[in-house]
Amino acid sequence: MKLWKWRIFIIPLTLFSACGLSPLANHRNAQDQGRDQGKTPSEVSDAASKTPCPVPFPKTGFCAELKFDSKPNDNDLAAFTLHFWNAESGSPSGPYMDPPYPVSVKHLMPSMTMRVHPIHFEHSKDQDGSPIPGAYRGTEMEFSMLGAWSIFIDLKKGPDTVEEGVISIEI
Amino acid sequence: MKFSLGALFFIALAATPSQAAPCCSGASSLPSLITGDDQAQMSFGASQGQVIGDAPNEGTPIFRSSSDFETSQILRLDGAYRFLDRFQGGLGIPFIRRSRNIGGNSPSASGIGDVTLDIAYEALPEWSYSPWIPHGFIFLQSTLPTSPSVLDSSDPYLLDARGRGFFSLALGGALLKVFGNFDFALSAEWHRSFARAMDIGDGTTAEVIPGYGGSALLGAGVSPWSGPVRFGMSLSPIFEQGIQTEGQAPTSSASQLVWNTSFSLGYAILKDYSASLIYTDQTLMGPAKNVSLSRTVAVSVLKRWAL
Repeated sequence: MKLWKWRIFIIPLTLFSACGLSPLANHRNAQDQGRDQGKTPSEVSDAASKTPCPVPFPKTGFCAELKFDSKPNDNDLAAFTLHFWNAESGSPSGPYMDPPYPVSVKHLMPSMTMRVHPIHFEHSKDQDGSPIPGAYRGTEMEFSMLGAWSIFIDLKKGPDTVEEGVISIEI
Repeated sequence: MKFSLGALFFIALAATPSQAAPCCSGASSLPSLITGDDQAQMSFGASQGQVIGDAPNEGTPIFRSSSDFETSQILRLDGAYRFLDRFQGGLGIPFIRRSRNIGGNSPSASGIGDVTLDIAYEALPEWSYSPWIPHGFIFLQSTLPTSPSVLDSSDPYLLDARGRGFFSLALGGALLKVFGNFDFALSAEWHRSFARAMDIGDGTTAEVIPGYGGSALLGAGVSPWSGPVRFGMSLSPIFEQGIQTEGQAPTSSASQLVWNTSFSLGYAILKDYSASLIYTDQTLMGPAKNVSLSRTVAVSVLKRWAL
């Protein structure tokens, strides 16, 4: 009953708060994403190239780098190249070599529980069709919503994950 | 006439298909209630919605580019029948079509959405005039997972996700009151969704455990000169707790919150027929968290059968 007496303040305050936090009044535009964020995913890749080990795998002594063909968005399927090298003898420019365990890549939106279509992921191949050591190709990667996504690069031994590297990107 | 229009307003809002992105919440669980002296009623609604942007769990919402076009069309049939003096039962069946511009193509998917069943009790009947006691209802509603959700989707970009994916039970109430040419509605419901298994894609399943959720509606309207036309607006916050996933890689998703702001135009066509035009915008009020934001235009026609 006491609360009811304060309705004249509570109801307008609730409405005002909701209005003040309006998405229409406080939002970013997808077109401006690069400017607003400071970094686009491709810029993240460029920045990563300048670090000696963009995605470290300390247990196996490897490093990896994932580069998108173009800036990923939420209405085009993305494609990327993934390179691995030995942390002690290699660098982002090579030589590349296969890690000691099979590689798999998956991605998800951590804040949402939803099915994400598996990407098409395979060893990159040369003109003869032979696998190129340390080079992988991922295609058909879909980002169904704008927001924060995580890409998991797993080294697998059967069903178990031996080591995992994580890349966070903003779509 | 005035009361009928006020009641129509609530019925239309409750039965309006206002969900443009079934993948990500945005629809309340308020049933379509018989609020007048009627034996039965049936409403048919059609809506066109477009996803405007996405509200992340943290940070400001991001509005999509003009080339990023995600739409939904919903046809919805709602029926209610009074089977005892103060008890009524209802059924809601949506048919949903979703499409999205993906890489220059516009694939689409369509089918039945989640069917709802409800039972309502007229807790505060209007047998005599009272200047302040509202007309009140208590209802129990179940949502049946009769359509694929984001947990079951097999289409690209979750196009075939048309429901929440969980069986849920909601308990709620609604209060309606008319003062002169003005009418007011206040409604709220709290629901619990139940756990289920989810195929996580590599041949194994995980148990997904949803939490509680709730929605409310505060609305008001006016019928100028007590005529057949009514203008109304309402505000409806919708909340859904995050989902826990148990299995090899346990995860926990964040809660969702969105505010539906609606503007409506109602018209009593004949004694037993009325129509509504409703615009619902999820970008006007906030905060919005972890949802897609849409704008929807809906029309609905209601037919009532008197006692």
